[in-house]
Amino acid sequence: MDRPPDLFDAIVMAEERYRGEGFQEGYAEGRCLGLAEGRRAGVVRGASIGSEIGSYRGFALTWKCLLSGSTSDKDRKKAKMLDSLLGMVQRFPYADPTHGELHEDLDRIRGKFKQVCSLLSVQPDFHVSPGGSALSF
Amino acid sequence: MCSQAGSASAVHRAVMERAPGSAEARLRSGCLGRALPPGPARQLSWPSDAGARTRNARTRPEPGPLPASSLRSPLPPPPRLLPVTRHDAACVLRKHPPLFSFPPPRLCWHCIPPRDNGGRPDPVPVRASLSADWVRNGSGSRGRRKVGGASETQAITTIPTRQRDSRSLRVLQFPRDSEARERKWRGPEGSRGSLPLSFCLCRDRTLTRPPGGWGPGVQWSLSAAMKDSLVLLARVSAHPDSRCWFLAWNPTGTLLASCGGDRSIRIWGKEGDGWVCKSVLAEGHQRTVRKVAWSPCGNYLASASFDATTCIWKKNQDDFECVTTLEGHENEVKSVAWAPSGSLLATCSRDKSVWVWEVDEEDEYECVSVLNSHTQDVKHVIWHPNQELLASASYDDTIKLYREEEDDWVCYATLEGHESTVWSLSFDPSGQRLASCSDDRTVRIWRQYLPGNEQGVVCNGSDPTWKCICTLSGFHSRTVYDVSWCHLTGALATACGDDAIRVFEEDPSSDPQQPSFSLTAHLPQAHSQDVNCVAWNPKEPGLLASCSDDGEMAFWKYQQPEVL
Repeated sequence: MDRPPDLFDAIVMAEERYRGEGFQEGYAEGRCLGLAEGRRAGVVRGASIGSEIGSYRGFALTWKCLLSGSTSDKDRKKAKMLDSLLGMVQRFPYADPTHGELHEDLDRIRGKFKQVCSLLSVQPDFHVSPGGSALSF
Repeated sequence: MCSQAGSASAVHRAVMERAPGSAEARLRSGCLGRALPPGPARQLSWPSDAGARTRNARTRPEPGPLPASSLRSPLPPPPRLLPVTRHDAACVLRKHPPLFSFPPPRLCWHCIPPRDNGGRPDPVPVRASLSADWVRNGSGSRGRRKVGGASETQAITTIPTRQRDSRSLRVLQFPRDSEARERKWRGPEGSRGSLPLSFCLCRDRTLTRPPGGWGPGVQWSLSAAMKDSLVLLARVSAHPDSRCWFLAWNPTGTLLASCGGDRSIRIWGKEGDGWVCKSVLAEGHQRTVRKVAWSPCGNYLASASFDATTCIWKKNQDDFECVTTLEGHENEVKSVAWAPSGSLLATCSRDKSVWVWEVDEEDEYECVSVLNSHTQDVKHVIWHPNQELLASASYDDTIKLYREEEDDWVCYATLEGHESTVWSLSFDPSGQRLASCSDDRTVRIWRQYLPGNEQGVVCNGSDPTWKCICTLSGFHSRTVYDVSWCHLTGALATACGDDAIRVFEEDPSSDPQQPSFSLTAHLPQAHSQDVNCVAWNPKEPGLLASCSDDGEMAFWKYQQPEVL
């Protein structure tokens, strides 16, 4: 049975209704802003991770080239380490930013890079992002 | 709340920034069409001791039924707080623990659990004496209680002592056969969370009565029993006008290396009754030398310094020469340790990493692995006494264990339990157990459980599980900086920020799965400032060296007290 809406209902529920409408509007606006902001943050962060990983790859490939002529035991060991660094870089989940182990992987790659630097006795003159890999708020 | 970043929370955050809590609550109620109760998720854990107490109560099983009222604080529930992030209130409390606690410690010992005598005749008469060290002088109380059969009575007396900082309860029991019994005891409901401590005070059967007999206020107490257990042999100003950070005995126990804030390492040897400086290793580091370690062969010494390097010193007769400097850490190196094989070296640093180095025949050091498992400053590394296992302790309140796997090192276990920075670690002689000490003023004992153990402790794959089997709390009034497990006598020594040295021993009658440790020595003013390190001599039982912020080191003779 369709009864006409209670006159008082409209008055009594007005506060609630307006609050609900306000919330919906605010939510939509906030969502837009949030998406844009999130996208910007993602782009910046992704770019920095990408350039960091890229520089490791470039470093490793350059050193592999430099070591390719040599056959000494030590150099072979170094080349092996470089290979393992390259392998880790290749396995890094670029396409999936929500990958659970992304940051662990990044930490492992950084550790391996430090180890390679120590093996090659070069001082890395560029610094990885000071905040470390874990997201900090 | 705000910390859960993400696009979906943008609105939420905007609301939080603009409106105080009540307005936000109204908004939420509008959105759902009905009033929500104040969200329980918003309530932060109360950063007081109440949490610690209940946690502790969980870690140790109670020996008997205790009235619930004795375990719970009578305080009203903590007030609701707005969420605080990890880095303010909790951190401040952690860094600057209150000097006094609230509520003040209260006693409740009308609940001694009766003990099963295992078929033996009822011990009569039983007299128990209890000393609560932190009870203010004269505020002792007495209790009388029937336990078990009608013939068994207990007299409980508090014995005030002067050492108010060693909070401990001791129970003496003298059954008819004069055989010591131990009794699990729930400690006072103190502010730090109390634990049941069990004591077996009468090892010497000849002791029957203290002179003058028992009674209220008998001055036969813990301090009297422990008076001569730790005797000063010598005191040496090792690093004048700076801190003495760490001590290391060489494997034969003849030389002691000390390092300090004056950037030098000193080697000490015994001559006659005194200890003399054999050599000073001053060149090598630009900043404080934090730790030193002898190689298992005794011919090399490694030193970790705040200048981000680790030096390897080679011994030539009486002289030392720096043969290698290991670089790689980004900043302060905090600790260094040599594996029992002598072919591996581990270092750790404020840069949150642990490095494993391999030594070849030509004294060339090569980095084998860089482990970034910790999320904070790594304070200490040690190797397992007979396996190639590495343990590290960190500012992130955890201990991590590593093993080798396919050319690389991996973290296979994380030991969580400490509520603040873990400062130091020590393995027992067998390597089955690990002692750790922390800024939360406790010492924890961890035990290894291999897969398929009889106790049914779950293991992950083929890796052993480490479980905390004992927590020594209530003994230390400030940060515990170092712990050392004597590989000859099994005694456990601690260095504490309250200037004291304490020695604990495991009660021989206690269950290996749930051991209990007794305080057997306590030297309140061992040094004039924080004690940084304690080190047992590896060959001479009972010889203990300690060093402190006042730049001095001291040598002690430890003897197990007869009565304890």
